[in-house]
Amino acid sequence: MRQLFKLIAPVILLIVTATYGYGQKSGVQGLLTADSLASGNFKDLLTSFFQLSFNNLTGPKKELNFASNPFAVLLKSNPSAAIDTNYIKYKQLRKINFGFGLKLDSSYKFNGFSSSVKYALINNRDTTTSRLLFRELGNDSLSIEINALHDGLNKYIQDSFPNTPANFDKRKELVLLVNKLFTDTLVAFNKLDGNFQQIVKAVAVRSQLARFTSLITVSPAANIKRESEVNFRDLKNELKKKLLWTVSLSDTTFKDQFFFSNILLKTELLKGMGKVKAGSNTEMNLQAAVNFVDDTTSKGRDLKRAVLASEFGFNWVIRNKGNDQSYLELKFSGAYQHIFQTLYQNEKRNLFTLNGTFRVRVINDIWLPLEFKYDPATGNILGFLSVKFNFNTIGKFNTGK
Amino acid sequence: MKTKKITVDLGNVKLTDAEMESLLEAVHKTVNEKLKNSRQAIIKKLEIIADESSFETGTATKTATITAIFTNVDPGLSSLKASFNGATKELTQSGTLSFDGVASGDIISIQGKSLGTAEISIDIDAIPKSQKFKPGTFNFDFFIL
Repeated sequence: MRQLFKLIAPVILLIVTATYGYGQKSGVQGLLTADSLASGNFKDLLTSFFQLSFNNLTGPKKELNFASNPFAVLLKSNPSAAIDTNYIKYKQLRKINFGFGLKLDSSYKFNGFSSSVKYALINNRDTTTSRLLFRELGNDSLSIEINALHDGLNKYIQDSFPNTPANFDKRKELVLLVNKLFTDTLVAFNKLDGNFQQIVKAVAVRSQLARFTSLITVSPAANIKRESEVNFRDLKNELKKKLLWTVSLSDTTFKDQFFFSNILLKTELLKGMGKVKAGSNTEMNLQAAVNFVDDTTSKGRDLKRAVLASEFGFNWVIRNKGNDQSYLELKFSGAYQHIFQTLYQNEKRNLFTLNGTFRVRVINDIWLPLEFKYDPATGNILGFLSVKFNFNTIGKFNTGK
Repeated sequence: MKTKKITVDLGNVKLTDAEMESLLEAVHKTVNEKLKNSRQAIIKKLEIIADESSFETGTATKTATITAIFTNVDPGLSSLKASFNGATKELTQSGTLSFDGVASGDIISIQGKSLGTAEISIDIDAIPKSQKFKPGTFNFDFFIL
């Protein structure tokens, strides 16, 4: 019971912290990229920029890991690689993650180096390369009407105030208002200049813009630019259901010799399930790994012990409805382990555990995953707390913003 | 038949035949209308007409080059349409497009969409000089100063 309390108490603390933190920040709208809207589970699988993690802080095998995308490293020295005509050249590079880390024992003493490389065989969640998303973007009725309204307003300016010196100031004033209407994300429609509001309404009616007219009638405080952004976000939600499939190879060395104590071959799959709703979505997670490790009962150093591990689970992502950022994730899974070579004495060849992971986003870049493992055969519960820093941009990494 | 003449100094303003004819017509019309007024008033009006003619005949017409830079997106997954005086030009990846005969007070309309960030700028005096958008659709105007 005491053991269970020790595990549950940090979870409650994390949930309260995250909920409070997001409650405080809900009114703040920064620049949200597709990457900043990805789930923590997704970022653990494939990071777009940098991830610094302290894993198993409460367990006997602690790890300090750094993972990155080589394209992110390239961008640091060559920002022009992000320009579309260059961006496409680095398609393969963007699918790779590499990492290295330090292994620590329960006393935080050095216990070996680790390194890893991961490749995304399929990444259909990349919003920057989706032709489907591009086709859909701007084809919704609101975007079409916004373009028609823009054309209508420019025609009104041209017809009512031809380009003469006497009209210069009026044309300038109207263009500034048009730009405020279409680009400002903070000013509500009913806070714009009163005469301009009337002009917009008249043009909308004349151009038969039903959805736009309905929007500003029902919600006079609507912001047009933000409405467009919400439309795009809804389109991107569909991509959250798409498949991500990775393969990876990682290794660990002994603490006193550059010789592998562990080699892990792993494949992982993430796929959205059901309908993506505002505020939440569910992902299916499937992992399979073969681990070759040193047999500590025999003399010498070898990789004779072989373990097959697999895990199947679901990750429930709870998002802030205001900005669609994930702030709490609950993952439940069943894991199966089979030792098919070099079984230790009193060790079970097959092991089945029920796992749970509570992943809390404390602030924008920092996640706190708390992992549980429950062995139904022995009734033992183990818990591991980690801290993960996911950096969305190079700038943030450099400036610490 | 009137015999008195007036001369208007146009300075460095270069006018086509049609523009000169239009200007003379405007001068004659104004002079006829204001003939009863004082000499000072006529001179003042003529100065205004001269200023307006200089403005309208576009001593400041120029070529405007618009540059679009799309980042973190594949080429072809961005679109920008720029419209000026009924002509529309389009980009589907980072690049430039130009319009000739752009004068002060003109408006160049920009509409588009991108799965990456878009930064659109113009090389002549305008409001805004450049505008940046995050992924999605965008609409705005360049007002030429």
